[in-house]
Parts: sequence; C-alpha cells; structure tokens
Amino acid sequence: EYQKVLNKGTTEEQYKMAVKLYESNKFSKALRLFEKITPTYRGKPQMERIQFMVAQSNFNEKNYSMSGYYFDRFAKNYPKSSKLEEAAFLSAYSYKLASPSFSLDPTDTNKALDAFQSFINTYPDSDKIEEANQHYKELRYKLQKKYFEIAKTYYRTAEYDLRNYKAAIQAFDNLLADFLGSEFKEEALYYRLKAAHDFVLKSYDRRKPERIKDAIDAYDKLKRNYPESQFMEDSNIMLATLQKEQVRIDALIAKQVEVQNSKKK
Amino acid sequence: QTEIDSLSTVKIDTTSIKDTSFEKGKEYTLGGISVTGLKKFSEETVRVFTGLRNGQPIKLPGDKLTSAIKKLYESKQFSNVDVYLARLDGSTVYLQFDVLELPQLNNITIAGIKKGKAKELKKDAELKKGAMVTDNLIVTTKNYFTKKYTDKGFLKTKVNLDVKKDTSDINIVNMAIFIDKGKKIKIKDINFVGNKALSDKKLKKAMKNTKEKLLGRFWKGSKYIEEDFQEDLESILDKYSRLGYRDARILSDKISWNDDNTIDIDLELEEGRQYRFAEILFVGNKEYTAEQLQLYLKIEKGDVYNGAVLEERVKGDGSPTSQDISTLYQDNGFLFSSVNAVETKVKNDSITVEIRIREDEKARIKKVTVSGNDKTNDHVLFRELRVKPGDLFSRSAIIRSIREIGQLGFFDSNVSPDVIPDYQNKTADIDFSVVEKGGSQIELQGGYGGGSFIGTLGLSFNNFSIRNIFNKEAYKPLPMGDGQTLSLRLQTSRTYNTYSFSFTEPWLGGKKPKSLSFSVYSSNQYQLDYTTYDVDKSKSLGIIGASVGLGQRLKWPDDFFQLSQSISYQALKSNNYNFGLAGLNLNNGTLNNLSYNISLSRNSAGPSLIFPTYGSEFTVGAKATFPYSLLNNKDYNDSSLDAVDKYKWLEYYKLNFKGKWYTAFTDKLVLMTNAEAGYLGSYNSDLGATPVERYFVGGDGIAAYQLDGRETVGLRGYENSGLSSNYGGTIYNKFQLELRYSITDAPSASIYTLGFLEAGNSYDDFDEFNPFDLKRSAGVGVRIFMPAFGLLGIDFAHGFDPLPLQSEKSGWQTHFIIGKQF
Repeated sequence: EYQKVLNKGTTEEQYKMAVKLYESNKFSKALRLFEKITPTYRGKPQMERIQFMVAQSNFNEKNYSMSGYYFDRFAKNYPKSSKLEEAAFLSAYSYKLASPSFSLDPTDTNKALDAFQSFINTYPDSDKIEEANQHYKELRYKLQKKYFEIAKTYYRTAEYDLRNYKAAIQAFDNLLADFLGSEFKEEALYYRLKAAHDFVLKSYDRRKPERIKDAIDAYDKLKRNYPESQFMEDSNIMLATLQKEQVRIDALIAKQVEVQNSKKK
Repeated sequence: QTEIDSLSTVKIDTTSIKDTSFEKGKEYTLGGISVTGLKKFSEETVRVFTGLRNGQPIKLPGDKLTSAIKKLYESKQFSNVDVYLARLDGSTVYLQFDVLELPQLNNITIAGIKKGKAKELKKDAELKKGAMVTDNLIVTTKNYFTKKYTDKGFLKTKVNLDVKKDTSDINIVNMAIFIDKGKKIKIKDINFVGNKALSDKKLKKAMKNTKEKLLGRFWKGSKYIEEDFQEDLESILDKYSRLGYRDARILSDKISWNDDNTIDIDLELEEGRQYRFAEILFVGNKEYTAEQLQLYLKIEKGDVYNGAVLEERVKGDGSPTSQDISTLYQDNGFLFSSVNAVETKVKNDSITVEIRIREDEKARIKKVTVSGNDKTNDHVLFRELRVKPGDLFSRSAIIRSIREIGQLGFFDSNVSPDVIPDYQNKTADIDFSVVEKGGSQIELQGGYGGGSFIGTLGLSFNNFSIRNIFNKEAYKPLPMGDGQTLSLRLQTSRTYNTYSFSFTEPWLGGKKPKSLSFSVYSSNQYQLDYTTYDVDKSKSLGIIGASVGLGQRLKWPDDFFQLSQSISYQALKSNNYNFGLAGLNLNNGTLNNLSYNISLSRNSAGPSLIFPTYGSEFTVGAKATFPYSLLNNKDYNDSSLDAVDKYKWLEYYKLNFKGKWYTAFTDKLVLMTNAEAGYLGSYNSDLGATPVERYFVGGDGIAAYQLDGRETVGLRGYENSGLSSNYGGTIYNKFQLELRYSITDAPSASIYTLGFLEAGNSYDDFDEFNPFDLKRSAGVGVRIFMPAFGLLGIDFAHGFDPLPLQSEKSGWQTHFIIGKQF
C-alpha cells in the first residue's frame, strides 16, 4: 500500500500516510512521502507541522547533519511557533551529535557551538539552559583539543623540519589567544616554552639572542600563571639551560665588539 | 480606503489620505490584518509570512510595514502586494493586504523534438511541477531552450512557450513548449579585409572556435555560436597585440545568409602600426633591484611590443610554475604587494613602460586550518602541509601543499585554499578545504577455473588506522584516517592457495617521514594430473617470502627525493613438483633468494596521483644478493652438480632506471614521456644468469605471476611477455609517448582517454643487446579510476613488428588493464 500511495496517491493521501507513519515511528518511509508533498504544501499552514516532522524524522534516523539543518530552518521560518525553543535546541544538539572526533573536520563542531551560543543568548530562562551550557563547554573543549593536538604535531615533527618550531610556537599562541581561560592553558604554556627552548638549541648563534628572549618570556608567562605548575621542575631546568646559553652568547657578542673596537684603533 | 505605498515609504502621498487623518510617523497599535485576493493560501499563512503580530506597535509608513511587504515578495508566492488602511480606531490600525498569488506549474509538455531529448532538457532546465510561474521563469525558460539549439548551430531555432490555466485545481497552469529547431547552419566562408601583416590563413587559425565548413573537419564542427565568435574576435586582437600591433581593432563583423543554409562572415580589420618597447622603468621596488627584476621580465628595449607577454611576465601566466614579478613577490611574503605595468609615453612607434610596484609589508601566516576531512586525521594532513603558521606568506608553498594533499591519494586533487588576509596586522589565515574520496578497494570473487572452484578475497586499504583496530567505535565501517596502507589477499582453489599480507606506515613514530613497510606471503601449488584432473598432494611447490623496507624523504638535493631500502627473502621449495624455471629440472630441494634492494627516486609529479599534469618521476635502483659463488670454492663447471646444489642460494645483481615526464598543453591535455631500462647481471660466468628475477616484456604489463621475482614490463601491441624468450630476458629497454586527455577528474570517478607510441625490447644477454632493435607499437585507450574499484582500462594497440621467431607483424591487440598504472 505504501508503494501505491508513494507513487500514485494524491497529495492528501500522501500527507495522511506520512503523518501516520511518523506517529508509528517509521521515519525513513515517512521522509520519502514528506519529500514528495513538500512542493505542494509550501506556504500552506500544514507546512509548519511538516517541517518539524521532517526535522524530527531525520533526528530519529540519526541523520544529525540534516536534522540540524532542518530544525534551524524551522526556527527561522516559524518564529512564532510554540515549538520554536525546542527546535532551536534540537538544531544545536543535532550539530553536536553530527560533530566527529576532534581530529576530523570541525565544520559541524563550529555550527553546534554557534547554535548553542545563540540558544543561550535567546533563551536565558529556558529549562534546558543548564544542558545547553554543558554541551557548549564540551564542544569548546573539543575544539581546543583539536588545536592543541595540531600544535603538538608541529612540535613533534620539528626535529625533522626546523621550521616547525616556529609553527608550533605560533599555533600555541593562537590557541592561547583564541580561547581565553582555556582548559589547555597550562599545558599549552608549557609546550610553548618547550618549543621555544628547543628552537634556541637548534639555532645558529647569530639568531639566538632574540629567540632566548622569547623562550624566557614564555617561561615567565608559565610561572606567572601557574606558579605551582606540575611542569615547573622541568621548566626550571629549561630556564637554567637558557640562561647558560644567554651568558655564552653575551660573552660572544662582547668579544666581537672588542675585536671591532681594536680594529678601529 | 487609503493605499499606503509602502515599498517606498519616502514617497508616501499624504494629500490623498485626507479623509482618514492618520498621522504620518506616529506609532499606532496594530489591531488586525485582513487579506484579500487569496486563491490557494489561507489568510493565516499570509499573516505568518508578514511577520507582523496583532498588538505590536507600528508606524505608517515605517520599516516594519516595508519589511512585511518585502517578506511576502521574498516568499516568491505572490506577483503583487498592496497594503490598504482598512480602519482606524483611535490609535489602533487595521490593515488590509491585497495580494495576487502566482500560479503553480502543473504539466509541462515539450513538442517538436524527440521524446527522450525532451525529457533530458526538462531535467536540465529544472522545470519542476510545483514551481511558481513568474514572468522571469517564462523568459529564462524560453531563452534556455533557444540557446540550447543555437549553441549547436541551429541558428534559426524558434521556441514558442504557452501558459494555459489548468482547471483541475486552484491557480495552477500548464506549460506547453514548442521547439522548431530548423536546419543546422554552417559557416561557408570567413572573409577578411584590411589585413596585411597576418594572412587570412593565420587569422582563421587564430579563431579557435569558429571554423569554415570543410570536408573532414572532425573535432570541431563549423558552427556559429555568438559567444564563441566574440571570444574568437578577441583571439584575433590578441594575436595582433602579441606582434606589436596594439592598436589593431575590428571595424566591423557582418554575417550574411546564403541560400544553402550556410552563412558567410565578413570581418573588416584595421591593423595599425607595429610598436616597440622604449625604456622599461621599475618604480617602487625596494626589496629587489631593477637588475633582479629584469631577470624575470626578460624584455629589452627595442623588442617588438607584446602586451600579452608583458602582462605574463608581470602578473603571471596562471600556471603553478609561472616565473614572473608578481609571483616573485608573492612567494616571498609580499601578499599585499601589487605590480602593474603602465604605458607612460608613446612616441612614434615606441612605448615607454613603467612597472609600478607597491611592495607593502611582508605578511606572515597566522592560522592554517583544514576542513572537510571526514575520515583523515589532522596530523596526517598537517605533517604534509608546506604552509605553516608563523611563516612568511608564499604562493609556491600553497601550491606545493596542494600537491602534497593530492599525493596522499585520499583526497580530490582539486583543492583551492581560502586565503583570508588581515591588512591591519599584515597576516593571513589559510584554510584548506578538502574533499575525501575513498581509497580502499575490496575484491571478492568466486569462480570456476581449471576444473575447480577458485575463491579470492582481496582487501586493500589506503588510509588505514592500525591503532584503532581494537576500537569498536572506529569501525565506520573500518578504522581509517591514519594514512597507513594495509592489504590482504587470499586466494584458494583445489590446486593452489596463496596468502599475502602487507602493511606500510608512512611516518614511523610520527616524527619523521620515514616509512616502514612489511610484507609476508606464502603460496602452495599441487601437481594436477591433466588427464584425470586429480590433485596429487604429494607433489607440491611451496613459496614463502617476507620483506622489510625502510624509506626516507631526503632534503638534499631537493625535498622531492626519496631513498628506499629493503631486504627480502624468498624460499622456493619443490617437493617432487615438476616446474619449469628457466629450463631447470628441480625435483626435490629448496632455492633461497635473499636480496638487498636500494633505490633513489625523485617524484615531483602532481597534483593528482591519477592524472598528473606537471613534474616528473625518476628512479635509479639496484638489487643484489651476496656473491656466494665467488667465495665458496665450488666448481660450477662440474656437470654432476644438480640444479638444487647449483642454485641453493640464488645470486644476481640488478640495475633499473625509470624516468617519466609530464608536460601539460592545457590542464586537460598532458603528454607523458617515459624511458626505462633494466639489467640483470651475474657475478660468476660459470653460473650464468639466475633463473629467477627476469624481465618479461610485452602486453598489458599486469603482473599475474610474480612469485619468482619476475618483472612484468608492459608493451602494448604485443602478447603478454611475447617479446621475451620463454625463461625471460636479462636486459630490457622501453620508451613511451602517451598523450592523455582528461574527460573528468571528479572525486567519484576520473576518466581519461589516451593515445600512445611505444617501443621496447627484451634481450637474453649482452651479445644480443641492440638498443636500436626495438619493437614498435601505437594505439589508443581509455582509463577509468573509481575509488572503490581502482583503475580499469582498455587499450587497442597495433604492433608494427613481428614477435621473435615470427615473420608477420603482431597487429592489433586488445589489452584490459586492471589496477595498474602506466
């Protein structure tokens, strides 16, 4: 009967059957019918209900990317709907469920973050606000983890390609600037120092003065923010190395100046 | 009733609303909305569309009303919307919206052309049931169909489009389209007037798309297509400007109709005079001296004025390898620089040019991001990207990154990165948006052959993740995304079975691009009695082998180089099995083959693996065993020595060279040039050439039986291995020219056609070797690459020379190519 209605039924029959299927949890079949009747019902009062059911069906069928899109569209098309808040939340939640592991494409993660942000701003009194905040936090954590791991990839491969020290330093700086109060702040500051420290040791003497300064600045920043850091011991050793190197470079420069002066005389 | 012209609130005519004295700009409360003119829609729907709520404050006129009307138009459901003031009750207003609904399209009929064609066009024109019929739709539809046929040379195409009411439902219409395409119109003559410096023939050649009717014109018909014709006029002027005639112009172009459904084109030209370069001055350059820039410009005073070349040397020719002044700047951090050539003085026939350079500050990369990697983990991509945060902006680093992404083989090679400049801070962010394409192939086969069932299971994963092999959640459907290669092949039948397994990690330990590969295989073959089809399991040949390889990318001489080394071991164990290995009679015993393999290669081809358009690939390799016979004091001339004793430890050395070049004529037409040669030598002349590891030249080049280390070298136009003697050659060489034309390079399938010339031969020893005694062939073919199936192809090749010991030429051969790339 389903095939018959799908292929030959009138739009009204198709609509009735789609709703029936939807109510008996046969979502993928319902979706095919909804797809067929959408052009005819566009602009009609039934469309509000149809669009919500399409979004919900996609959600239940675990097409989260699609349900995120449809819930969002529902919220935009029917700003006066009683289901507006629910749709806004489900759109954000769908994108979160669609969002893959931190090491993959961040598009859906970003969409979910934006959607929860706007939900939190629009419905500060919602009873879902706590849940929304929790989701938001998790998503932000996922994104930070991503950029932290990418920065670490640069650091890990820097011995092979020395330019990656600079890349790692810039990437940790980006992370610290983009996510104030980051959960990764302590670790990022530590690895930032480590990258700067290792970079000094791999540099030519003439490039060292500014790079030593940058590394010591990184140490100061870690110490200022986390004086009790678990990384302090290791960092102190790095600082000692840097200071020793500084002394050596200073002596080298002094000697050079002396030679130049004696030449002038 | 008072009409409020709300589309332009400024222009409201206050004089006409005297009676109902509402105050302009005063805030009223909206009491209600009524809608008139409805056919299909309900009043409520229109209210929802307006976005207005009862009880909300509203000004007349005002932006809320304007936006309500705008929303109604934007819904694309109405062709007209008017708003009237229905009633004014104190400070409460009641509005009346009068709308005209657009009709909906119901049936579409197309007449005058074939039914199948009509269906196809309907789909292409996106004419769908339920679409709203606007004036725009009618005009664009009509134009679409007209253009479709005039673009094919049916210049007299007429399209009639009729819209009629359909009474079966409210406000729907049917569309009837009638197409009369008429006769195909060809171009008879193209005439030029006013050309002296260039002949008619040269000008006609410059017109790439518009051609005269000619018998045997095959690739391009002689159609007249307005757009292409205009483009051709530009080509003519371009041709002139390249020869210094920069004033050349086309005075008129005229089309005249002949009686025989042809047209003539008359072009009147004015060539003007030929100009030369006078002084060329560089202005604004600080980073580079005029002498340095001159190396890129390569134009001298007195040269014929060539605007196009000037532009190319200043702005680039659009190719990734362009050598020009802009690229020089863009490659060295000057993202915000601009370089322009300006003619400053024209005196007689010489032109002074100023190259004006605004260098601006150097820009650094701030963020590098990747999106679209649904399967491949970040670290696999980021370790390959040549654009790094903190670096100076460099265009060539971006191009190199695109190549490296393509070379991974997991992504569509058409990557166009998004550069987001920040002028204030002199930085730029770069986002690489990639599209994954599957890189895994599965082969599952069952069949009947050699009197018994043959089953094959082959799996090959190009982007595997071994660390997730016990992680249930990573199976979607397989653990992917770490860039590892894993392949597994099992084949079994009544008479033989083979198992093989291999694994490659491209970045061992994740710190350096050092690859580790590892493979094992085993195969068993049993004697089959060909008269009774009985399998005799007491007679068998068993082969087992393993190899371990290490590869590393080099930074010197440049970073396209790679050094690979491997050690392989193979044992062939015969158990009363009579197999012909270079004519040896080996009944019982084991042959061992332990070898070391080293090769140096350089691969700069790119960007795609399937259809490279630039770069080259070179490999020099050597494979050698230990020279046992030189040290073990055995007398190999002793005729009592049997084969097992003689070849217990196989010994040989092998030298190989391969070189491939890719030259693009356009981005779809590429010439591949290939030269390769191999030599299999022996340490001890008493022992002679080794029975394994030989070259088999001829045919499709697919290695069907590779367990004795043989190398199968394709040479189309001849039977498989037909150019080598029965036991294989010890020397071979081969040359190829292959012209490839890409039909599509989509992620779902890449298809290209090819035409080739090949020559090569195989020789048994140096006495026979003659590099000029080559077997030649030519042919055409097609290749289809689909991610799930790998490469498939078919070639038709003609061999011009006879096979060895034959007198008739090889003639036409058909080759099927599966999985191999030429």
